[in-house]
Amino acid sequence: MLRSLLKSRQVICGLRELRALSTSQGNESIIDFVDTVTETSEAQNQSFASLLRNSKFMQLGDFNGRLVVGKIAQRVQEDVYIDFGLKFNAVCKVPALNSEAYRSGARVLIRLIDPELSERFLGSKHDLTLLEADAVLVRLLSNVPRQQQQRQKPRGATEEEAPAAPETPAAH
Amino acid sequence: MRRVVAAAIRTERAFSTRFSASQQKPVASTSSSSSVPDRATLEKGTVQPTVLKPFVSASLQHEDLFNFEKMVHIDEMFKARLHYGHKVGTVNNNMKWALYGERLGVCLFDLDITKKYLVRALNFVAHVSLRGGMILFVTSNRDTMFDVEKAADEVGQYSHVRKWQSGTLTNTRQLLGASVRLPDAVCFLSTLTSLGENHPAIVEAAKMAIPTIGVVDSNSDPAYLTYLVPANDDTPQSTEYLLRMFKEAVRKGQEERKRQQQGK
Repeated sequence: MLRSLLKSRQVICGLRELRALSTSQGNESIIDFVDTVTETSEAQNQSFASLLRNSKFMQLGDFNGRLVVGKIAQRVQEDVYIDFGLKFNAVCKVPALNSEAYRSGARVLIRLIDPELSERFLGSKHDLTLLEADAVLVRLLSNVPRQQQQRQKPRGATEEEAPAAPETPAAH
Repeated sequence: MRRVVAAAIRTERAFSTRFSASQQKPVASTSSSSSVPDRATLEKGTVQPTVLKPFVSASLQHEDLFNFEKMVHIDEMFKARLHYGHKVGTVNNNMKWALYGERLGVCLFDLDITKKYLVRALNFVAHVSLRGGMILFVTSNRDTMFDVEKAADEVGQYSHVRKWQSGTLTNTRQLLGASVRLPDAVCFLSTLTSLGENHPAIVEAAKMAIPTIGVVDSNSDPAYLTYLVPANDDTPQSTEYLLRMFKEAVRKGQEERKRQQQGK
């Protein structure tokens, strides 16, 4: 119970930081959560060790059950491919309710289970990998309007009130 | 180092025999009297290729002629996610030299090693392009096949992204007819097929003595490849970055070639 509260607080802080950054920059384009952290680093000659130490990948901790923000990269029928900043895209089912809003470019909240689906079969030397990540779609964070991109502040306030409540959970 | 010099010498010999036009004749006549190695040096060169370095062309003496060291940045590679490998269970033992470590089962490439090998591969691509060589870009990743085709077409090179027909390089006369020019270098943007096996073009290029550049992931097999780029080959952002680098290398080589031709 306490862990879930702490996780939701982390997500709230991340979201507030995201909005602060986007409003300070002044552009209405959607900034990916992971890219924002790496882009704000001012030092150009950082070594790989320091870049890795300060990356979101290190701050993530255990992957199992972690809430992360992702961006829909592609949608094929009822499947969405969500890019959350790691190697593979997560493949989730689109929920039946509010299905139109899950378009390419929309930001979603997912619960990451495994960054890469791979398993060792009996007798084989190496694991067999499916080249995709496993995650559960929790909620839609921001919409992508068809005509023009506008920020909907009342919707954001609604999202802040209940971040951990799964409105439309969908597990594949 | 030996493999680099040997590949450079092989490339130099292949191009010098191939381009026997009038432009090459005065250069050959001047160099034939002074800078041709004798038989003893050639025999020693088969065991120790570095003794042939004084006979190599002046542009090949430079380790980083096109200055790619300053063009490749660690933070750009990091942003393009070149450092993510596969899980530990899929790691090939021959790729452990390029890994920085693993965290929670996910392997991570050392981008310092990747940068060193990428700069070397980019210099080779630029040198091949400087001498008018033809480069074939090959991938079997469905997510990036259109990007590879477009990138190769933009710089006037060639690509193959569909299912590889067996014998395309080794049995060209039967499949494609007579007098088909083979590529001078093959660049593999992904070395594994969708079934997890090695791309069949790797072995065919090795049989035809065509130098190859391969982007090898942590589960790939680096055998039979001439130049390695240990990096992530599954993410579209990573492949996009590598394609941009290779396009820049080909473009720099072509510009230098144009400048040299205008100079003569």
